Amino acid sequence: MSSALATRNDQLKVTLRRAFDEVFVQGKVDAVDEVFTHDIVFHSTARPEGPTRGREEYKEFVREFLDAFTDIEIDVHDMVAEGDLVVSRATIRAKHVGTYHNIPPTKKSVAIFSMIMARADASGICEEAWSAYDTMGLMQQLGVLPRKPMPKPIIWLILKLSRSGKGATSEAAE
Amino acid sequence: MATSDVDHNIAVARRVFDEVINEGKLEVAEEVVTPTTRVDVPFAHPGHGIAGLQKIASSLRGGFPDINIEIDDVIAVADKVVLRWKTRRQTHTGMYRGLPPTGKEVRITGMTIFRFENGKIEEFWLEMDQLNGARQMGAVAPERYEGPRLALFVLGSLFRIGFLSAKYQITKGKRTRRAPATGTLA
Repeated sequence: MSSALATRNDQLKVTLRRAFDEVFVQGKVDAVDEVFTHDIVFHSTARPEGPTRGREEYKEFVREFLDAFTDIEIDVHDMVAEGDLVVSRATIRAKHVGTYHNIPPTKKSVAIFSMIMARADASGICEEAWSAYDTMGLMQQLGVLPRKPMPKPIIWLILKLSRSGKGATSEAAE
Repeated sequence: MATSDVDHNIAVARRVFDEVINEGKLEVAEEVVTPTTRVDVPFAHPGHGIAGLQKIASSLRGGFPDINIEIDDVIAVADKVVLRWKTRRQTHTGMYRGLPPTGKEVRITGMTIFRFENGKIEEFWLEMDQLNGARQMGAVAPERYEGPRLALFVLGSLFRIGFLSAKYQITKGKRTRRAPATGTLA
């Protein structure tokens, strides 16, 4: 790998780390202006309706998170950069103290598994990013989603009911 | 690391999706991972090694037999390959992690990081959009629902999923019972 490329890849990693540290850990939402382009397209599993477009929309999205969580720590396990892309794998630790996606504060501490891929423009700042974080695990940790989709006793009960009904009809047929 | 090694790693990583998951060739798992491969997925515990990858693939294919994943971005540096992907097609026509078939069309996105040793995957981390998948199947309420509407949804889905589970169990029972019966008749 040429040293010019290596430098650029290192720069991408630095940009992404700044986004984590300044925007999320320190809560300086305006740092978004320095690490994302004005027309940033940000895809997130926490926003199934579609990506945010532009800095202002993204800042709004960040504020929703910062208003709901405090004591945010981002533990970066791995970063991989090549060409204009950089990926990070991290665990986000935070405490849920405000309403988040209709969930009132639970005061619970959560650890969220996350991966993010960012594409940089020519000057090395992010112009598009895809964030995949374990929203299912987050909801489970907040206690608003069961860890299993359907309680076993209810399946058993419905099965029992539908089987006894079926048994009755086949007996009648005999 | 030589470019050819990186190219080889990319090809191996792609086989996980193209062959093991999309085509359901579970035996290919033996060629791409090793018995000691660490499997790191946040939402399930498929176990490690060859069996771990096979379990992920068979669970997805069991729930969504027509699943087809498309790779959107590839990064490969030294011993790592990262794939960003989405499902092009995924219809919920089988039992998936306890959820009976709903017939719903599901679209999810995900990312996978692979670490290679001697040309095979020695560790991988997979993250996918489970919650939105569950919402698309109607197993989790839409985010905007709250209060009585949410309560109604949860109550309704208990019955709906219960009904689908029972239906699935009965038709599955029929299928297995019918097979020897035809033999006796003939």
